[in-house]
Amino acid sequence: MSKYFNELLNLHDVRGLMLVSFEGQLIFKQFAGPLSRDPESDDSWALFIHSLRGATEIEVFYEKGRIYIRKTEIGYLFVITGESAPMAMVRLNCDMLVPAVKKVVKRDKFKGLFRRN
Amino acid sequence: MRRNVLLVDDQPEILHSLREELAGYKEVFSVMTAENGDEAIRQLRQDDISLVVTDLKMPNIDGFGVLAHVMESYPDIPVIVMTGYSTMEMKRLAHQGGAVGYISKPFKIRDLAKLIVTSLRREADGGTLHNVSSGMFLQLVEMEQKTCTIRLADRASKRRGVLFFRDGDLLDARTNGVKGEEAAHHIFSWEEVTLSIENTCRCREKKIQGELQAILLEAMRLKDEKGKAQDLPGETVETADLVPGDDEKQESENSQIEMLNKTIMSKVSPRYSVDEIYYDNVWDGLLGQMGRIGKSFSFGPLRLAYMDVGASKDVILIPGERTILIPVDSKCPRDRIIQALLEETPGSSD
Repeated sequence: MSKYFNELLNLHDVRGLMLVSFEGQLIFKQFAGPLSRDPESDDSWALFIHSLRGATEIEVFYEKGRIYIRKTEIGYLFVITGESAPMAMVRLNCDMLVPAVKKVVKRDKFKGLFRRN
Repeated sequence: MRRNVLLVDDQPEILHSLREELAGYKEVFSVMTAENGDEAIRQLRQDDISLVVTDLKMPNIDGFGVLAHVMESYPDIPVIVMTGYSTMEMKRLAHQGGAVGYISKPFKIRDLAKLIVTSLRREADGGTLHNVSSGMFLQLVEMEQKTCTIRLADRASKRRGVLFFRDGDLLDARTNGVKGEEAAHHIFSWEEVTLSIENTCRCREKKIQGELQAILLEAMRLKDEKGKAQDLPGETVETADLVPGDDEKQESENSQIEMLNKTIMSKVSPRYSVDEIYYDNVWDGLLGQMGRIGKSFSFGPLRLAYMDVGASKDVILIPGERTILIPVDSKCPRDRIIQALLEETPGSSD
């Protein structure tokens, strides 16, 4: 899965990404460095996802960073960036990646099954 | 390697706006502009252009003229056609003429950017090889009867060239204004090249009649004979990569809205006057959640949120004592509006 998101993660000042299901469960996460708080420990993702009211694309600007959020077939993709990330490129990469997210998650699940056997 | 994209349109304000908006993709491509077909042809000759985006309706040489010229002289350069007078017939003609993309005005800038990036990536969809001998590799292409367009950059001379193969048959070659067999001789004499393979060939006419082996031998002979003195004056490969009392409060709120509207009109464009800015506390809960998430990433206070809510208009939300909502057209210059608003609305205290 991380290989699939490589190009996005390699963009300047992109610090990490998370894929959260519509029910608020963390499906995938990858961060460039340690976080002050583990997003998995946050139990209010479901509430946040619900508050988005089905929006397809959201860009959130903070004083010291940004979060780009894209709706996918299986949940919301969160791209965590600093202030100088090239947002146009982040959007464009997501345009190209998002259509296949479901397939990649499914494929990786099966990969896991085969490994166990 | 960063590529040059040439935008051709006879309306300077459109060129200016596109250039500014496409600056967001500078990591992948740079933008050059031409205000008419003649200027575009001149720039194609002088500069290292990787892709052309042309308007159709222009005086003298129109978009179809530019398309025909590129197909004839630079078949390796993809062309995207944009028009404000789109009809099915025009679309058909553009594709028939060789255009790889067609977009009707007005369009979302990211839709155009997506077309550009997808077309540029196609240049190397068959892979990229570094430090190989052009002659050896091209014999393989012939053996495998490949149909492809191969772009090469010579390590020593920094010159660039392109070869067109259909079913392993070398149709044409171009390098530094030289075409056909002569260009092939130059290219085949390059000893160490970086090459990228595009799995399509837009060149239709066979302009090189000799066998590949014979051309290779001739290239070697010419190289021995003339030595490195025969080098063409070449362009170098760009390596740079790729709120008080009720009345006062109302007045303050009105002036804030007026100020935001003025900001958008003056810093973005008068065309994007927003006459519908209003306060809407329906979004307070969501903004509260966004603020909480921002804190967990140590991002500090929330400044602004842009949302595509799946309606005809997107919305910009600005937090404050009361949430300000700005509906904007989804085709608006998003980054410029956001930048202007971020500059105008100071960050609130945490």
